[in-house]
Amino acid sequence: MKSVWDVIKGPVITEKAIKLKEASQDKKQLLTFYVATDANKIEISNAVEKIFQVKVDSVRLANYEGKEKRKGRSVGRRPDWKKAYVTIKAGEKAVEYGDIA
Amino acid sequence: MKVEITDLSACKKQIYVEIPSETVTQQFRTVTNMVARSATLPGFRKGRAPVSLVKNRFKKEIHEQVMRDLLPTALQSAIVENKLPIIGEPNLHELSLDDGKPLIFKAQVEIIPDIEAPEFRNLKVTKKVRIVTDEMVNNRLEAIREQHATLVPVEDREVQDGDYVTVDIKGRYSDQTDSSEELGADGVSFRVDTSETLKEFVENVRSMNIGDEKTFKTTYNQDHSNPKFAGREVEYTVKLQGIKFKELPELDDEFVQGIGEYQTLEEMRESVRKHFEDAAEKEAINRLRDVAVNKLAEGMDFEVPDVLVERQMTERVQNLQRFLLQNGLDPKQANFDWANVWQSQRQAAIHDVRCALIVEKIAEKEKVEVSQEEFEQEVAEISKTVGMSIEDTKSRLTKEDAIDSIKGRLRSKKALDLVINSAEIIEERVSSKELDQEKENEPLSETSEVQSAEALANSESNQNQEQ
Repeated sequence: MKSVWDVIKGPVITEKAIKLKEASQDKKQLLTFYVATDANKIEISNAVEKIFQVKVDSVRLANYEGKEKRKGRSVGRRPDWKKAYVTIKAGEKAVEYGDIA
Repeated sequence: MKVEITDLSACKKQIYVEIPSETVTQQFRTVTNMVARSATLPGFRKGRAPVSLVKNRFKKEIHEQVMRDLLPTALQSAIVENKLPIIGEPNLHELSLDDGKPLIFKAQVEIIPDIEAPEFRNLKVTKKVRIVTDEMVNNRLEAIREQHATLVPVEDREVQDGDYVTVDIKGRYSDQTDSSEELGADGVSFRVDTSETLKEFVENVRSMNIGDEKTFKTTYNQDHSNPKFAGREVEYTVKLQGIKFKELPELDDEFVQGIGEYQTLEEMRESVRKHFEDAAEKEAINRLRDVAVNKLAEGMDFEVPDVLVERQMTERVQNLQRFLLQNGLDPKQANFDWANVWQSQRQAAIHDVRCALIVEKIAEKEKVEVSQEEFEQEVAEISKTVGMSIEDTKSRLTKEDAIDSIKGRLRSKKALDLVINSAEIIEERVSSKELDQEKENEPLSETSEVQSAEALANSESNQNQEQ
């Protein structure tokens, strides 16, 4: 069985993400996650609902290509990754990334 | 801030300090904000990370910083407000600090015990002055004579004890038939005296004439320092090249004038005597100081702080080491258990500290102060002994933080002089022998330490000689 943690890899904690989360605090809350590259919106929505016990309004996705890194002659690649912007329905409780149900 | 002080003993106090939680929280907030302003976290530009994240990430650092900010000032103010004359470092324990809770700690400190300055006026002390005997003067003159002796070569008689001889030495091991290994040298000089030279050499050289040759065997000890010789028998052939004997100059006016300083022998004799008498007087005064302090300390039995005692113990051991060094012994090589030596100084150190505290109290009570001139004078004296200019000495002393300790020393010296001046002094003339015996019987005095060190040094150097 695929666990929720196979879908959601962790929260995105950056200046931008924090800013978005705080700006949406009293409306539809916007959370950001690193998710598995093969995860779809439905899987992500279900996983977030299960982890935080809230209703998800919508999920938007962004695909990132891993950067090419060189070390002398050898060329390497960082893994590709996917970021999910998850909007929580209005009126749900405020989510902190630390409160896992 | 709540401060409670409990007595653990006469010179040990416990300070209990409680800083209210508001102050602690406030301090945590300022420190966190300060850290946040310069913190770099991944995903954030410098200083942009939210406070809550910074708090988590730098928990330890913030905690430490708050401690550094609050604790020393709190302790300091507790000490100052209660006027505790502390010495050494406070020993902290039961420390607890958390955001939102009061900061609590206990500190054990040692303080200078509060003692009454003893009554020092009309103290009865005996001043023991060493008697300067004719023998001492004569010995000294004899030594000067010895210094100015000349070596005169002789040719027309045989070797006698005390002569200086020059010989060619050839030697080989008795147990080796081939003389492949040559020992010995040409033109070796030594004195015909068993205390300085190998017995066999002395005995064989005695009553030889110049040009004579003699062969004899010597067996070295098993533990001879040179492994080439240890435990082996060597056959030596000695050829006498020359005899010299030490001619001592006649002790008369002429000789005295030759040295330069005096006109007549009588004058010199007087001066030597005076020198001895001055030294005896100085020695007596030094001893008088010790005696006076010991007398004051008598019957004053109070606890002294361990810190001071241990410091004094270290000091004493250092003195001992310095003494050994001056006598040409490396304390590192001398096979001492220094930890043990250190421990053995405890009793003496306690006594020293007690005396020092008493003198300090007297100085305080009598308002003994060291004037600038006195200090300058002392500095001048120090600069003379170390051979630097006064300015250099001063800057050096300032650099080494020695000024206060010099002032302290002068102060206690002045206080002691005060004690001696107001004491009733019975002067007594004592022979050197008695004085030396007395020293041995006084395990606590400074001189005995030097003496025991001397004994140690002597036994060490004797061992060296035996080798």
